[in-house]
Amino acid sequence: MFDGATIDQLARQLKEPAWVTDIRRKALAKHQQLPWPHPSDDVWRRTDVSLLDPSRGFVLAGPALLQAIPLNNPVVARSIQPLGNEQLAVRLNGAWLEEPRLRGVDISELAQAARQHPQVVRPFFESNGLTAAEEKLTSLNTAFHHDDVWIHVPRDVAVEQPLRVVHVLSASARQALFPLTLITVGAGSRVTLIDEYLSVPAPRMHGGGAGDPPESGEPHLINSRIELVIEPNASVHYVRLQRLAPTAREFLFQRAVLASGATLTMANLYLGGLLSKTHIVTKFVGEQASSKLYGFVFGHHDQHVDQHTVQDHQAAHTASDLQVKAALQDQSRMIYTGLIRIAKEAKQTNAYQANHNLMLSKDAQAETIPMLEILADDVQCKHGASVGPIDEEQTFYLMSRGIARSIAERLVVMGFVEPIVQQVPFEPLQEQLRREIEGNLH
Amino acid sequence: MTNKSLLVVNDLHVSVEGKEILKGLTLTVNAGEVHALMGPNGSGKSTLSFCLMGHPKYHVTSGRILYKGKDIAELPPNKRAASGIFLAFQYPTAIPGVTIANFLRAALRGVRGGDVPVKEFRQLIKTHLKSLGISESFMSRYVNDGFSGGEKKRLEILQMAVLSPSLAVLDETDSGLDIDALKTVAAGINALRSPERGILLITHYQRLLNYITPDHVHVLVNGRVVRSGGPELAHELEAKGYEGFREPEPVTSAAV
Repeated sequence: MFDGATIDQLARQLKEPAWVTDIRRKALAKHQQLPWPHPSDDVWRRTDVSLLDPSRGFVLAGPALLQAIPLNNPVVARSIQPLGNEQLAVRLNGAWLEEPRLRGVDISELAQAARQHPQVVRPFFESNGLTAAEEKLTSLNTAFHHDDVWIHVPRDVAVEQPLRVVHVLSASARQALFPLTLITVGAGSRVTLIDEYLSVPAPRMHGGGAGDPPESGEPHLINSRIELVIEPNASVHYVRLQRLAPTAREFLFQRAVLASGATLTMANLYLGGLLSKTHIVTKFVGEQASSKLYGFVFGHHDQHVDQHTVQDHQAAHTASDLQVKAALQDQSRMIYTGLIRIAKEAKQTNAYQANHNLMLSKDAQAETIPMLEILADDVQCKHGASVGPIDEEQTFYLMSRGIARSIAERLVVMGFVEPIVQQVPFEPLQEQLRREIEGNLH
Repeated sequence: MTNKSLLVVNDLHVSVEGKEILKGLTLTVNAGEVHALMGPNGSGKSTLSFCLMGHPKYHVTSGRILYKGKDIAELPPNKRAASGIFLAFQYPTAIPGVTIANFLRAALRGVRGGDVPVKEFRQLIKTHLKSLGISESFMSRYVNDGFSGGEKKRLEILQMAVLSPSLAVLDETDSGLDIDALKTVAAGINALRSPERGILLITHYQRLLNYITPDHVHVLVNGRVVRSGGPELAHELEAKGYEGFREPEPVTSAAV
């Protein structure tokens, strides 16, 4: 299934240029040649990577497998409507709900972009810098990607209204999906982008309507890649919102590359999925580039969330400030490994990393491992981490004001999340997130 | 004890983590009265305040606390608050991410046992902010998060004013305040004096009592009230220091 014949079929369906297909074939060869990540590697130890291997019983949900999207699913119904004054583009299983008409932003399918702007798009496909372990999984995306978007802000454009792109993926049991999103922001431009990914179980294939119950609790697999390239002095506020179905297994390689003077504020919010292994890399290749990176994980049920962040400082006078928070209930498990790498050339760099885990149940687990590779002198680097339950003193203070324990604890948890919600620069979505998170607390 | 008695503390023994801090404290506060409880560090002042509010770490090993004639030992802190007890903390806890507006709304709902109309809430807050000289932008800040000492104390007084308790216990509300803040806070407390309300000021220094004249003053040493008197007692303390107040002869356990 995950072989050259499938690639040929994809190439025909997507009508992509031959060089794209060629890169697919090379990626597949690379995948086949690389070993699976070994548990001796600290970044991979705590997740069973065989669960992310599509050749273990998954089938490709390629473009030929367009299937019904249950538009009456409340999550879908809510997500495909504008929330406010945002510019909205909705993709349903790799096709536009309606052709997006956006101001200040070009948005297209990647196959089309590959034909029209090969010189811009090509470097993405070829870009490397991954570890062998990352490439083992990411090469699958490069080989089989089919739901591709290219979002491009030309140079010197200030996009005033937030842009919200919603990717709705409807997956049947045992399907594997490979979405790929490339974002390029030209020099001196400014944009706010909210990038939402949600998956829902597909309705039954035979004879049923959209209201049929989904097939059993069988998993689907989503191997995604997001590349964000920020040209000199551009300013980007990027939010990724993950609302995958409770049966979703996810691998994500997400990378932002910042040129000189570029600034990035990023918030990654994880609300769904069954198993999630994500690598979030922020790479500073130009001087004076800076970034604030926020993350929130809301773990519930048997969820397993394994996050690896890399703050990769390759240039001098760069700054990164990262804060990942997790609120974990039920039997959920969070693993955080955070690498700060400061190259020899990256003098006078500031890098901060914090990971805080709020344990809402005795059965939840969190592990946090900072990793530092600092080769430059004259840098400021700090990291901090915490794992603990709701502070009894906070609860007592609130209760002393007449607030019942259950409400007091809810307030503390929502207060824990709030600084991250504040990083979603679009108020209607903030409201929705608060309601959604609070509504799922128990 | 009269039928005006708001708070009756009778031979109260309280332990924290196995260590006895209050060793037979007795105190009565009637409606309409302001009491000052003064004592050196470690005498048990804060223990009494936490114990009155029902902090889970403070265990009553013997003795009773009656509030409005009822034993409150089994009441959780929120029920105590709803029945009209308020504690202004010496070190108020920060609740990051929770705005003062949301917090006060939840508190008022809890104390009143029902929702408060938005309009009424806004009006109420506005009035109290004004009288305490606090800007409205304060409401969107997170509870005690990154507050200066003075801001924290003002927030305690604001909460007290909004919740309008029957019994207000103020634990070292004067500590860490500059003179202007002290005056504002004292004015806030004085504004609460009323025939229906009892106030217990817990303080180390006489300073706050320059602005609030208590009806009764008690000296707490080593977990017991060793002297009670009128406002003049505070001045005597100021002159002599706590050294002048020895604890009474210990009652042997055999005698109990």
